[in-house]
Amino acid sequence: MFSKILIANRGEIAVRIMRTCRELGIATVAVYSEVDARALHVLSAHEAVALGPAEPQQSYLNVEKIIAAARQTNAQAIHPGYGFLSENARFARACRDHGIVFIGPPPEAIEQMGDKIKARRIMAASGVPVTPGATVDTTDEAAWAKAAEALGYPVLVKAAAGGGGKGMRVVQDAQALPAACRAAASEAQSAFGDPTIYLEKYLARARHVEIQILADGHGHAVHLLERECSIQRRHQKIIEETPSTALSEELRARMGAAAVAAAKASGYVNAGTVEFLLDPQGRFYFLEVNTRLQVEHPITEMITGLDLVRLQIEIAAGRPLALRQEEIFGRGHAIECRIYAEDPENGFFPSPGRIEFLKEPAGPGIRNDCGVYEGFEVPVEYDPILAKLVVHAQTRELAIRRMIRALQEYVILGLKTPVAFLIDVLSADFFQKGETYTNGLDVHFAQWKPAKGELETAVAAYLADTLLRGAPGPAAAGDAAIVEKSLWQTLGNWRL
Amino acid sequence: MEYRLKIANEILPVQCQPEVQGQFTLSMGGRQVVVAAQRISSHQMALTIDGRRVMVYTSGRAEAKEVFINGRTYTISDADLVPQRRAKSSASAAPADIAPPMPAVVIKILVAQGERIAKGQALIVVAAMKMETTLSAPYAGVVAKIHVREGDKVAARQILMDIEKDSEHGST
Repeated sequence: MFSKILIANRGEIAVRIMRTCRELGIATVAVYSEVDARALHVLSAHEAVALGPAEPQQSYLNVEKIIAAARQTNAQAIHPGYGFLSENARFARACRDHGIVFIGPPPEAIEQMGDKIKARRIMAASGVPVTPGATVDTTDEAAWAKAAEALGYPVLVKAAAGGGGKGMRVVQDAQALPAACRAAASEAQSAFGDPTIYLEKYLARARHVEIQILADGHGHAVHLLERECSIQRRHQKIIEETPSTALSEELRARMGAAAVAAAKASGYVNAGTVEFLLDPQGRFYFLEVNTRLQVEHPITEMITGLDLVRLQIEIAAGRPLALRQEEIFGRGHAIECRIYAEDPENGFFPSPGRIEFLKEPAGPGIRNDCGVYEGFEVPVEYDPILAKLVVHAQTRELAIRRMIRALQEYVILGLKTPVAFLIDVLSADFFQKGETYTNGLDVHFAQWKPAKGELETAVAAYLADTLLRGAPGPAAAGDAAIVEKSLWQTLGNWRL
Repeated sequence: MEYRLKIANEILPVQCQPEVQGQFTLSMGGRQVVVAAQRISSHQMALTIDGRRVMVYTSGRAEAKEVFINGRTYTISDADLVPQRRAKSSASAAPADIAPPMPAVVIKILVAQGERIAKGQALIVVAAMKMETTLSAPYAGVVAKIHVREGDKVAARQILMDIEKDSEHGST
C-alpha cells in the first residue's frame, strides 16, 4: 500500500479524497495555483506544492509540473479526482513513465474511452446499443450540415474529448448549426485541448442513467448499481439519485451486465462509469464511459456502504477486488444536490466572489462534501462547484423531504447559489412523481423566479440587523451585547 | 422610522417603531407585527415575530443586505441610500454597455479599435468559471476605445469597450 499520495485536483473532490487517505493512514500532498494558496484542499493536506499561475494550463492541467511535484515530495501515487487531468491519457502515461502509480485506468483504456467517437465504435462492435450519431470533420462546415440533416433535428453537438457538459450544444435547426459547432469546438479546445466534435440525435424525453463499475487488475469486474442523473441544466447534472425510479430489477441487471461487459471489452481497470440514455420504452443506449471517479459517486457510497476512493486506491495498489456481484445491493435512497456558485435567476451564470457566511447543514443521513469555507474567495478561473449535499433515507419520499430540510439549513451568503431553485425542483410535482427526464428543467423551470416568500420576515430581519448593528456603514462584529445596548440607547439619533 | 426598502425590483414602504431593547413594531402592507430580535452572531439572529420563532442570517450593510430564511435568500436594499452610492460610481454600466454580468476573464477580443460594427455583431468573449459568453453590439457604430486586453480579469458590469453609435440609426 502507498504511504503518500498526491492529489492533482482542487476543491471539494480533493478534500474528499484526502479524507479517505487519512483514514487509510496515507499522507497527502496538495497542489495549488496562485489563487488557491489558501484554498481548503491546501489546508487539508499534509504537504502542499505551488504549481504557478491561476490559468489551468499553467497549474492544474500542467502534466510536467504535477509530475515534478510528485517526485519532489516522493509521492508514490497520484489521484486525479474528476475534471482536469483525470481523463488525460498523456498524464496517466507520464505517471507510469516516472514510476508513479496513476489512480485510475491504464492510459490505453483512457485513450479508447476518452475519445467518445472511438468508444461508440467499440461499444457498437461488442453489441451495446448506441445512440444514432455521426462523426464529422471538425473543420468542414458543409459536412456538419449534411450529417445533421441525415440524423434529423434536433441534434446534439458534443466534444469528442468531452465531459461535464463542456462543449455540448442542442441545435434545433440548420440555421443555428454553424455557430453552435464553432462555439462547441472552441469550448472543447479550451476545456480539453482538443476541438474535435461529433453529432448525436437529441432525445428530448430520455433519462440519463449511469452504471458504476469497478474492475481490478486481475480480470474481475463488478457493477455498483445505477445513478439517475436526468436533472440537468446546461447539460450538466445538478440533482442525482439512486436508485432510479425507472429501473425494474430486470432492467437494472441487464444494464449492469452491459456495463460490466463494456468494461471487460475495453480492458478497463479501476472505477469507471458507463453512461446510458434510457427512453420511456425502457430501451437504453450507450452514451460514454467516464474513466474516473464521478462527481456524483457519493450517492452510490450511501446506498452500498462502500468507499469508492478506498477501493480505487486498493485496486491501484494491485490488490484483487474482494467484492462479488451477489454481495452488492443498495439500501434505501440517496440524493445529491450540487451546490454551484451560480445564479439560477440569470441563466445559471457563474457567480464567483467571497463567501461572507457559510453554515453547512447537519443531522441524520446528511453528508456535505464541501470545498470552501467562510471568508474564501471563490476564483473565477475554475469550475463553479462549491459543495455536494448528499442525503440518505429509507425511501425516496423521505430522502426528498430530508434534502429539502437540509437545503433550508444551508446558508451561503456573499455569492449566488441554486439552493432556493433546488428546493423548488425537489418540491415540484414532476420530480416527486419520479418523472425525471433530461429536458425536465427546460420544460418546467425555464423562467424560474424565486417565490415572493416570507417578505415580512425578510424585512423584519433587515431592520433587526440594521438596528442591532448601529449606524449605517461598516460595524465591527465585536461584542454583540454591548453593541446592541448602545444602539438601542442611541436610537434618538436615527431618522424618525 | 420610515424606510423604503427595495426587494426584487419592488419598493415597499415600511415603518419601524423601536420598543424596549431588541424589540420593535413593524408596519408594512397595512399589517402591524411585533418583532423581538436576539443577536446570536454577527450574521445570525433569532427573531420572534408575533410569537413565531424564526432563525435568520444576514450579510451586508444598510444600503444592501442579503437575508437568508429557510433556504431562500432575499436581497434587500434601502432605496434612499442606494441612489447616492450609484451617483458616485460612474463605472457602473447601463444595459447597452459592453460589460459582463459577472466577474470574468477576457478570452478573445474580436474587433479592433476604429472598426465599424453592425448591430448584434460579436465583440468580445469572456469566460467565468469555464463558461464562455460572447458580448455583442447593442447597436451599429464604430469601436471608439477598447479598455481591456485578452487575459485581463474584469469585474461584473465593468465597461470593456466604448462604441460610438451611428447617428443615422436614430436616437434610441
